[in-house]
Amino acid sequence: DKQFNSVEGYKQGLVSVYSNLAYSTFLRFYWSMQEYTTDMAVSTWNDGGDGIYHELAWSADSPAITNVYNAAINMITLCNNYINEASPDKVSARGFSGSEANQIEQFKSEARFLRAYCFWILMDCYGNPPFPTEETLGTTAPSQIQRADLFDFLENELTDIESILADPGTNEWGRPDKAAAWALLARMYVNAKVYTGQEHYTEAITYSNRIIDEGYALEDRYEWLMLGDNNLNTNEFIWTINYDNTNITWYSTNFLALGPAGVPGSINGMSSSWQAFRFTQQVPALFPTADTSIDKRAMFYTNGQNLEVNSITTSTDGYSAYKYRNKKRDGSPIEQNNNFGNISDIDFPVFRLAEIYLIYAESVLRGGTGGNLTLALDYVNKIRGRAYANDPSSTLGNITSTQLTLDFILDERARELYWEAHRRTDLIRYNRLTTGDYLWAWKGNAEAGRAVDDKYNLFPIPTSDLLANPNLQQIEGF
Amino acid sequence: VVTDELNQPLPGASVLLKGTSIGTVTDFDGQFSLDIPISNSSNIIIISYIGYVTKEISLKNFNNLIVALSEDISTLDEVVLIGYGTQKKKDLTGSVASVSSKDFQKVPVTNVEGLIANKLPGVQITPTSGKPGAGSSILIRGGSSLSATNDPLFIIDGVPIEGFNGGPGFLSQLNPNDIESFTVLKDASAAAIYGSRASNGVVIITTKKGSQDGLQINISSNTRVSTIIKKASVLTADQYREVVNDLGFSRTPLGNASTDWQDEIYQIGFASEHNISLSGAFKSIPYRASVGYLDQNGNLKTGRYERLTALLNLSPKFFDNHLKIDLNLKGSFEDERIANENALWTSTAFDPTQPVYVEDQTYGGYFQYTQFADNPAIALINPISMLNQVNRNNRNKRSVGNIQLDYSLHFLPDLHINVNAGYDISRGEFSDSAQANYFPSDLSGGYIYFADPSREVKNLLFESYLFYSKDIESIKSKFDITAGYSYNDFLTTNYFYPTYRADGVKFPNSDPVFPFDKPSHSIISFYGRFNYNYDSKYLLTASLRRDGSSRFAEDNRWGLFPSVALAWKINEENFLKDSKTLSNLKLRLSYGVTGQQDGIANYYYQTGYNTGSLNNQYTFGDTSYTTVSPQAFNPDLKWEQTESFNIGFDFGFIDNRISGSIDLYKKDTKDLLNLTTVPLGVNFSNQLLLNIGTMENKGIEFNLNASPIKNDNLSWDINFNATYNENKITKLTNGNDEGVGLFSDATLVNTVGFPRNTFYLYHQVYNSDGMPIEGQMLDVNNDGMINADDRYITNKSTLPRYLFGFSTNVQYKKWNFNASFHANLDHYLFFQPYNSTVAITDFQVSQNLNTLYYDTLFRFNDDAQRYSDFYLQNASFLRMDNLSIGYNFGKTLVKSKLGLGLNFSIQNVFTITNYTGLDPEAIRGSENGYPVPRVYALGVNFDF
Repeated sequence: DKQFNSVEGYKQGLVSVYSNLAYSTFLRFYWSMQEYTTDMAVSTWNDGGDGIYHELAWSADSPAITNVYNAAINMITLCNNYINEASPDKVSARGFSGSEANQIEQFKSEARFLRAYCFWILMDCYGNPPFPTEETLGTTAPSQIQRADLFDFLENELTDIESILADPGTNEWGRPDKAAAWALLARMYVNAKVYTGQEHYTEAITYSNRIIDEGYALEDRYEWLMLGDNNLNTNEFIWTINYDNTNITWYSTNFLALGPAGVPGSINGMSSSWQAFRFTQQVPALFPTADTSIDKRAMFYTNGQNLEVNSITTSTDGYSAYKYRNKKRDGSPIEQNNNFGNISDIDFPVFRLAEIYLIYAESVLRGGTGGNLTLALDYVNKIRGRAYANDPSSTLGNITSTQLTLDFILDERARELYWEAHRRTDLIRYNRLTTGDYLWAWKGNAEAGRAVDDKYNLFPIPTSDLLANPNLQQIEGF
Repeated sequence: VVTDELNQPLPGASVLLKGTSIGTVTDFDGQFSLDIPISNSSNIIIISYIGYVTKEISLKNFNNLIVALSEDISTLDEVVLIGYGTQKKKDLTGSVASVSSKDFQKVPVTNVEGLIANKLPGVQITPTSGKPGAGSSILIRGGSSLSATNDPLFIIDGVPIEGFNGGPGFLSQLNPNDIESFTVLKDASAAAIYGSRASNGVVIITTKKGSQDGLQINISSNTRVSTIIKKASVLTADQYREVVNDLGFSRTPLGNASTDWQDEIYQIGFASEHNISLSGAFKSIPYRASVGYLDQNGNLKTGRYERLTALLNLSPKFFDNHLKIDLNLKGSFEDERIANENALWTSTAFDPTQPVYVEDQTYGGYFQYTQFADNPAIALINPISMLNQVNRNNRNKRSVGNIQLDYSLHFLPDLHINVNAGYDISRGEFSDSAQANYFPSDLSGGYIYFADPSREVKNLLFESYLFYSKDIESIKSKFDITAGYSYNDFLTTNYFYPTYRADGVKFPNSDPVFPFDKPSHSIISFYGRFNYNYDSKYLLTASLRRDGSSRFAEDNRWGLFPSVALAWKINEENFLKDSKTLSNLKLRLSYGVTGQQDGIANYYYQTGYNTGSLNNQYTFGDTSYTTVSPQAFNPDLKWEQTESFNIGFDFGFIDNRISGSIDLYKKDTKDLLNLTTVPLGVNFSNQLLLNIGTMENKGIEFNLNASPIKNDNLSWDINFNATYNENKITKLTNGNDEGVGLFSDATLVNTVGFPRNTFYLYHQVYNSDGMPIEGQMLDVNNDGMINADDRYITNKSTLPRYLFGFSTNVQYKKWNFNASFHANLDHYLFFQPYNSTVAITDFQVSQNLNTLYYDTLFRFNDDAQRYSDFYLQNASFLRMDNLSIGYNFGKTLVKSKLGLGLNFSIQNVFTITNYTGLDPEAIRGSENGYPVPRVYALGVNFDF
């Protein structure tokens, strides 16, 4: 009980729950799941068995699929514990009232937000995951929840905490606010058809609008987004996972700076590359040129790299990129304050405005109401203006309304959001992850790519938990 | 002169004039003289010596009397230690095995448990590692736990010893030369007096004491040479080149060298040990003091273990022997350099075409994969640099001591008050450092971690009991009652320190959050025992213990552990009493309940938060906060309880020239403490210690001792023992137990109806040539998919079902030959070394393959292949453990005052097995453990 006898103790409890995002294996392996499964990355090292992702050939026995599953459920468990400790009964029993109790209530809503985010991950990746709540904590095996039911739960949960969360932009960096909840809702709604069979594009527009109306704006330069001092990007970033090199973990954004093949220390701001991942040749083809001369987002590293991936495990096959750099905006590296000399300061933006603009545009195109094509085009062109001229208001690179199609949106998402852990979800929404409609190098372990069974739109429940929890049923096909 | 059967003089035999207190003891040459007052009417002297038949001689001739005592082969009068007291062996009701110093293995052993290896049925002693100073694991009757400890309770001179307490193991801090006897309490009726800690049996160890005899000095010394018996069968440099050339590719380029990395890391180990002991009586206070020194080099280079032990035992008696005091003090200093055992595995994986040394001195002249200089974590590290550039030291001081007073009341001598107070304290130091140019720590400039002290342990014991015995001849009855109280307190203090760079600069944020923590727990016990003996034929023992442990929540804190046992000495019945052939026949029946609480963290029943380290803070806004994480907990934790039944026969024929016993037992353990993989989302860890399920062990133990030949020149003794133990999990959950059960690792399950640690695997599919087809498993349910539903429970477990031990000793004149063997049958291991080329082509650093590759030609070791029954092997084996030969010159030197003995021995002589890995007995078949070497030893013994 000592832990929770002060508001500071409650805050430390909340920090600790959030620290799991940063220090657990979550981010690194979630990224692997979202990118290696697609055209966006091939893995040189088969790290933790992640080579299986690009083949689209996993089974419930594959060790790689347990990582995100375990990490997300573990975070949910910690959130459940925190939610219990911050229950009104316990809070009043510990003598808190008034503004202190309100503060704790806000902490609790932030724990509920993190829980919702983790459940969203599970819903997106595993379909029908176990459903541990604060009531089942410490007692019974969680039941299994169906994907559509989980969608409803998350919808209720996020709208329920909305009023308690801080107003947009007013909370401390790293803590979620109303806009974070809206962003998660918007992301859920745009994918709702995949999860529930029902379209919710109107709601996606509603929640995108709420964020946009709060006055968020794109940062001037795309290259600033993923720097060591990207905590300056308060205009655009909605919610981040924070990193600081005094705090040591190999599961930080390290791998995003060090992982891209070929990139030397002089560029990534740390040491030379781990040679871990590269793009398939399909990704540079989405850009006008494979350098920043036209589209400044095309930060490809091509030196010594072949465009084509002839061999997945050859680190020089395929371009990589220097999007993530542990440097400051002025180009100087961030001083290392640890005994490894190789730790990243780059915060990971889970939600940022550009994604919201693109959700808005896609939802309008898909027939949602409450928005319009003019605004959709305007938002997309802000992204284009920044990409081509370091100025969101520039007309350089702008497209016309006839060019604004769903296919364009998917490609624009690839250009804008590459290596930010979106790709797998996007391709599923467009039904291109498993089908023959879009092929990339070594998809399905064929050099030219091939269609695979639709079951690979999901990951199975890992055997370990399936055997431990008698309430769980394996999903169809595994 | 008093002599033994071989006409060797017996010093220290007691000589007493019958009916008087006039007496003496024999001197070193067995001589005595006795002045008998003329007035004395008696002319009979009584000559006695421990282990020999007491003789009464009628004195007709007062001079030059030569008395030859014969050895007492009827060992049934032997007194055996039981919990809180002693009992005559013939009056035992429980299953108790004991070995005294004369029957110990006659080879120099590093650790005390080596003295009794193979000697006891139902006791499985397995070396845990070949590391210098390392001990063994002891498993009695199959163990009763799934994942709590299966170690028995050790009681050394009345002090229960808990925990590893620093150093290689708690038994290793004892000097084998000081040990007098080992007693193993196997069944519950014997062990239940130790209640909650006795489920895995109790081992009572006593050290040698002084006697009233004159000063005896023993000096012994031995030198040992140890060698590695078998290396892992990996590809040679040439084979490796050939495989790489066939593949056309290796992840890290081939080198030009030919290095056998295993040869590089191993060396011949030398050890020397010296002991000196003095015993005698100082002003009628018997004492024994000894000092021992061991210096042992490991087979893994740079490993070294030094141990200095000292012991002092005093056993005075006061007030006409009404007050007996036993004072035991033991101390040990250990100083160990721990060789980096990661080198063991790395030496089997490192590319054999790379050299050990290079000219470039950047990394101290060792070959390293410099292409990974920026991220050495993904490189393999040169195993020789691991040994030489990392220095890890462990120093430990420990003292165990107690004083035990036994007072029999002057006015009521049948009532004894016994008080025992003891302590077990230790202080450890630990240091770990790496050179600045050690490849993995080059980026950070090496490191130094120095902990002095690293840990302090203070365990205290206070016990007291009353003992009352009465012999009521009128109703042919004898009985005794013991009732006592015990308090045991355990306190450990762990200290934490920051880490420094090799140049002495402190790493930022390496300061520990807490400078120390102090886990502690205590146990309070009340116990009683009642023994009843009717007509020396029918025996009854009943005991009861109530234990309270601070490790459980209040509702579960107390446990009750009863036992009862009956014995019938059939040979005392009239119809057998006069049998010449049958010298002993006893039937024993027992039942009892014991508990188990070891292996539980002290505070596991409470929720608690751990504070994260300073370099794991998390930032909100501009502020970094240290983190706290809730720990897994189980408020319902309670005692594990084992109910045991035992039926036994003891038998002896022809004056016990042939003797032995058969025991049938059944142990049911309920509320098993089980580290269980729980569904995710229930607790703060997916592994939780739960009281879950029940398990049974049943088995038969057979023990046979025979002395086929016994005459003046030649004697031959044989001991054979055999154990069949069947372990079965009978229940795991409160609900449906039809599932696979609980995983203890990826290939092992605990399933109802099967032994613990049973393999759960896929059926491998083979081609027509008998080669396994990679990744092809039998689709058992024909659903077109290979998933967990296709795995099967093999009914093959890591636990052996049959254990055999055999030892024999031949004494021919002054020569002594000794040999011992043991075998484990029906015992399985999973042997899965690197055998697929993925290790060469796909790993960050190409790694060497096991020669098993030639049998598989696997390219990948994909998901299902990792759980294939292709890797399951029968690891039954027969091992010759010891072979020794000794010559005893006797007291023939320096005017027959100095005795000299020489001996030569080999340990770990050979192993017969079909298992293709390194060691079929290695714990769970770990191929990466420290191999147990073969040891050649030469020893010399002096007696004064």
